Amino acid sequence: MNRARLAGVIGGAFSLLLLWGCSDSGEPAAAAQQQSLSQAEELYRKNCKVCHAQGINGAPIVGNQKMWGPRAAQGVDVLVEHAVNGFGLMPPRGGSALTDEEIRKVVEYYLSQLQ
Amino acid sequence: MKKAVIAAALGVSALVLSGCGEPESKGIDPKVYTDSLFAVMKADRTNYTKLVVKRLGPAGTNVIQPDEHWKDIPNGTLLPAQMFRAGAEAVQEMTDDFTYSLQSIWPINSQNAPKTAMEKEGLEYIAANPGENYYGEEKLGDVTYFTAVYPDVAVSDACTSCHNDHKDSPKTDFKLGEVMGGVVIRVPL
Repeated sequence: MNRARLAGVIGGAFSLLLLWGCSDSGEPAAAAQQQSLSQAEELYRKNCKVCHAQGINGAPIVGNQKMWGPRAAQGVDVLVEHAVNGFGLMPPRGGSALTDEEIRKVVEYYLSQLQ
Repeated sequence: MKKAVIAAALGVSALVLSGCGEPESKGIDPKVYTDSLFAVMKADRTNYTKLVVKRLGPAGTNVIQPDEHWKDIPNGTLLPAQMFRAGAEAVQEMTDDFTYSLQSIWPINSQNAPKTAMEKEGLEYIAANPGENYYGEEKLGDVTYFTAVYPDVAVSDACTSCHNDHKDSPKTDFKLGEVMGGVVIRVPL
């Protein structure tokens, strides 16, 4: 085996090891989290986007660090409570039929968009 | 003579430099312009709703009465949508550099129905795609315009009940969070 082929084989094996190491325990959790965020995005799109994409009636715009900064600092539980019961000009549940759990998912989706 | 030659040389240099200067300014992108106008409009409307209507109306200290027929009531005040319209009318008296209006494909007042094909297309688009805006260019007379349409959403029960119960409303099943119409901003290009 010449040097170039040897280097290729070692490199390939090393890459496989790295990939295997990555998929050990983190991958299922990351995949589950991604799936949860995808579901939340769909809930957002169907129920919340009409205001939160535009900042209608003062709704904080998704991904807008300036609007979300002070809100995010209050923590997920407070944001969920505000969304469920209504806060300021936001009507309870934004006028939707979302459950508490679904609203929590959407709030977590909003916060994920700030990273 | 020497001075004249130097002056001429400086003049030519200035001419050459001015020709090679910065590229001609194209001005602000129409979309950025209309988006910015809409940001101000919605901020003012939200603040009127929150700081005046909600604070001083029946849900607050109850010293004013927001009502469609506000002129007939001693302490009557405009509904947020009417205040918005009043702003549009005031701007129309002030300038032709841009216009804006609150329109709907289900207007209570037929004057607020779309008047151009693009307005209609834009209003239909934002109703079918909640949260999205519509942008296009249309030629009216000899002038080409950039036309943007932004959603107007039912943000409270007051919006839905007023429209659903109104005798002139062509649509009577509006729900909270639904697109009821749109803000059309038009800028000549």
